[in-house]
Amino acid sequence: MSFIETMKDIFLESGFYSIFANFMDGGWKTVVMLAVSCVLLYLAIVKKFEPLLLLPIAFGMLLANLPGAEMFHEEIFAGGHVNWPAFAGKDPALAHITPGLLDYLYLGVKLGIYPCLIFLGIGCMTDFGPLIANPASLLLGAAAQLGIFLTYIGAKLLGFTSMEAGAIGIIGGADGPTAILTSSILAPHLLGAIAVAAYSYMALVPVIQPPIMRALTTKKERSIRMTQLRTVNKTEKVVFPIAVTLLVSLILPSAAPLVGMLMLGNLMKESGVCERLVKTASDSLMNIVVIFLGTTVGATATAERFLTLQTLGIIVLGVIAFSMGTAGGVLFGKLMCVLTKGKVNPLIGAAGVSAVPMAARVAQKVGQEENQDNYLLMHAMGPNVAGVIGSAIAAGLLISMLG
Amino acid sequence: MSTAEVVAIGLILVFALLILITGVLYLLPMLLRLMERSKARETCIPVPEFKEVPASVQAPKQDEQEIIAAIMAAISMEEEARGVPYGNFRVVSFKRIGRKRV
Repeated sequence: MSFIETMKDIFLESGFYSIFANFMDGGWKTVVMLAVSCVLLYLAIVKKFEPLLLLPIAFGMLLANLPGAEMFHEEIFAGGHVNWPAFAGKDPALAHITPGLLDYLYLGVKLGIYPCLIFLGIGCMTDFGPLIANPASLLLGAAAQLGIFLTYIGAKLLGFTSMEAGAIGIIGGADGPTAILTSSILAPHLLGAIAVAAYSYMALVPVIQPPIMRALTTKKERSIRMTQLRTVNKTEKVVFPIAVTLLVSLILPSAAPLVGMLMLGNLMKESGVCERLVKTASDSLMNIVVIFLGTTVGATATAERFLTLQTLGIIVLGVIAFSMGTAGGVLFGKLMCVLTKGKVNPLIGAAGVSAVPMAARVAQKVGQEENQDNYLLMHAMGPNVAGVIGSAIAAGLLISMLG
Repeated sequence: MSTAEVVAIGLILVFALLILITGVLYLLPMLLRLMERSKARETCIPVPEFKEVPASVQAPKQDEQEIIAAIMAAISMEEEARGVPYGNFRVVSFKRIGRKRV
């Protein structure tokens, strides 16, 4: 083979050739997707929007959309199932495909492994003390799940199927791993768009929530100072994860993977007898899983799947879900304020949307705008961690009813 | 399943489960207190009934030592004057009269 022929072959196999030779026949979509990934990388690196997840997601998107790189093949996961023979090269229909790195890593998402491992790490890092000290804050966590179900209605009205609507609605839970697990089961073809929407809006919690919180509360309500929480002893903290796991899993088994792993992590932390495991689960394991999860979820956002009107719908519905969840929490907070004769500051209800600890920090910040000496952070942490449990239960319910 | 059914069942069950956990969390401290109490009852050693000792026979406190010394000195002088050998007595108790204890 001559030098020129070799160079010609290399050029014909290059991504540049693939893009520009088929530019009008879908090549432009690849360019758009590469541009979208670069915008997301900009948001992660420069604007610091949830960089730990958005950066791997954006780069996964970039890798999956590189023509000729063959790192991810959605055909292997067509129809929401894993085509195992394709991995062994025994599927004649997919004989031309050699599974890429991201195909293998994506199995962790498809089989529901990564979100649960992330919940294990979250459990190791979560202090349920404020929730145990004030159990009524669980109700705020429940009220904030309103966004999930109202968005479900909105998605149905926009023409999404029930399963797709359930997966989109879960964005309102403001919990990345929960959204990923739910959509990987109910609507895997929307996973990329849902993950990008969920993490982008989670990063935008300080922008989305305050106007809603201010609009729904009076200055007097925002100024309410709450009494100090009681101290919680170790026995309560140890019994809590066991009791919650038993209760939730026995009533709603489909929520067991998420709630169970969350509570396992928390029990390891609170028992104080598994320090090495806690360190690993909350640090190394968590970071490894975040890299795999982010990259592979981003890889599902291929041009064919992402550049659709559905994605636009998901982006719009996502912000509605977040807003409704915030409004639901704040309105329930107002109700609790009335029932307790002004002892509950309604702002802490907004923290019920999960997004730990960002939403609790927002409640603290908005509260301090009215009263510099008002410290709501610990009070908001109760609904905040209640939101994690609430969204996991809501996810289990949606999977159980629609899956 | 209709949209309304999914929403209604979903919201009701989320609230129901979290209310259940709330109930458990309110009961938990009570249960733990009860368990601690019964554990304490099982492990405690019977203490003999406490008998109130009259103030007059209670052990003298630091400030009472001076009073006792003064009483002994006064009695000794009186005994000495009557020819009774020194140190043939001891103050077992004394009682304050007409003055509140500080």
